[in-house]
Amino acid sequence: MKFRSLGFHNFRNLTDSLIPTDTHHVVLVGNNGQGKTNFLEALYVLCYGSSFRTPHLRDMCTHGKKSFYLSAVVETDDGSNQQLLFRYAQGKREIRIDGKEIRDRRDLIYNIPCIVFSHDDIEFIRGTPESRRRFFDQTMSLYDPLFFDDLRRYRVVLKQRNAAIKEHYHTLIPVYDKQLAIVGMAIQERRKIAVEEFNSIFNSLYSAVAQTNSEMHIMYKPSWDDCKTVDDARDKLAKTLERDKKLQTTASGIHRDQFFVMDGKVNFAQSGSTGQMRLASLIFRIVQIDTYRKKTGKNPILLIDDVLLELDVTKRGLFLDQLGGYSQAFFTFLPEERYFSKIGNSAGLTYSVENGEFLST
Amino acid sequence: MNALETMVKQLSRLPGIGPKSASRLAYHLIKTDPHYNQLLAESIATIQDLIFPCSICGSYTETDPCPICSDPNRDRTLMCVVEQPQDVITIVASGSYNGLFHVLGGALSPLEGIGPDKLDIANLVKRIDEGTFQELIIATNPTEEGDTTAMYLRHVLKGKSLTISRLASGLPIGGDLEYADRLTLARSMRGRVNFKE
Repeated sequence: MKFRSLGFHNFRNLTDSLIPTDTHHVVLVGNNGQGKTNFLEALYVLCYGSSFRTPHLRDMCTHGKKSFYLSAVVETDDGSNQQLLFRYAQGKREIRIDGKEIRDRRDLIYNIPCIVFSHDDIEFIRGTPESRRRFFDQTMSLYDPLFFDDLRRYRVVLKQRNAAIKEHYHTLIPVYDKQLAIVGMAIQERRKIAVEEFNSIFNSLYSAVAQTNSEMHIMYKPSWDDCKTVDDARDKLAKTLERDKKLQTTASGIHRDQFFVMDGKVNFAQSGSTGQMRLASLIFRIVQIDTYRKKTGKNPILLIDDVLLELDVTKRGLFLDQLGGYSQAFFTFLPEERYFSKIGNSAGLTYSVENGEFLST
Repeated sequence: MNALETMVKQLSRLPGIGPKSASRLAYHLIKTDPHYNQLLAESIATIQDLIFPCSICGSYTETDPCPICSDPNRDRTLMCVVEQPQDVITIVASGSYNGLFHVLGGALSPLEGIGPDKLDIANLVKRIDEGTFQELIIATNPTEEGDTTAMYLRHVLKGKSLTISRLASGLPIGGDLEYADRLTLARSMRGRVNFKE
């Protein structure tokens, strides 16, 4: 998979244009606020139908505009061209692949595998349990459509159960308990396996780039830790129903699972420095890429946004060594950054970005 | 607001019709044959007087009981439960089913304020108690709400001497595996059935 070109209209601060991207890597160089991240965001929106920066599509319209559209030509794995279109207007999104409208985002997310390295990734390490849960859910959804489907079903049923509690539809709650237990236990089992697989490479990758001896690993604490079977989870929900009624919400289940980043027996979020946490968050993404590659046999497209800034030159080199294969990569850099030795050796396009305009250099 | 704006506003309240489609329809009606407009207006004005729910099964009919409930040739040991009246037409058109129907009038969804009290479950239980049914086929949609409704019905009908079944789901007939979407294929793999001789 490779983006051959990217077009945008009324998108953020970018000047309406069509930019060729038909190379193995594309480098965007510019000062802050010029449009580098907006370019990556446009690619991401075409891959997943949503942004990695905002949950509101309207935020992506150019100031003063109410709609935007993005288009791209993508080279698929068999060498043919695919036309992608994303349009946002009147509060609605429209996504088309080769002219055919995509009604369920599920049909889009497996089209172009793309992984973004963003500045906010540090929240995987120091942020709330939810941010780590989101990371693992995203990692697993990338290669496992059934997991993605189970997660979606679980969320819908959970919302219905909470509504049933609030609206006093108590006769429905045993039905929701059964559904939550079946889907939830399937998710819990697969999360356990995913964490084991993650741990099998996380520490060695981190130690290699950080050049330290560490004992980094993820500790998974399921909310239903004491449940072995679907019936156990169902019993647990039934037993805690009175508490749930008081709280007006479902207080146990896989939506409350916790993931801790540990260095030996110490919680890394409390012991690690900002630089170490930044590096660990980069390694999270590398593991995500590695897992995707092993599970699917395919290389993803990478969007790497300014995250190398806080690494010294040696660590940058080590980081790039660990990236492994990718079908295409987009990097953003500040003008004064010295980074090019490794990336600059292979054929690629470099754009200078200024005021939303892209000049090939 | 002028007549055209009023018409666009009213048309855009219909399901599946946005402001653009409503505007296109309105302009079409302005220039079309006036006789057609008259016929359309009359059929809209009288539809609710002529079509009403069957007092037995709840599907739409012009006679009460409906032709299906009053057909002596249908198998009265089979009952198929559906969410909406239009589901009855779809199943009848398949030609694969010759039993009776029961329309629930929706699927359970507390988020939308639809609890068991909003569906026609009481009449379903009454019909089963008073009828000669041996099998109940739950044909609610394969959505979370449809699944919940199916499981709830199963719970309500527990203990009754009745076989309860649910429609199968999976790969479309006559399609190549390579064209099936990944999720449908993954779900079909999970829900695979024993291949008996």
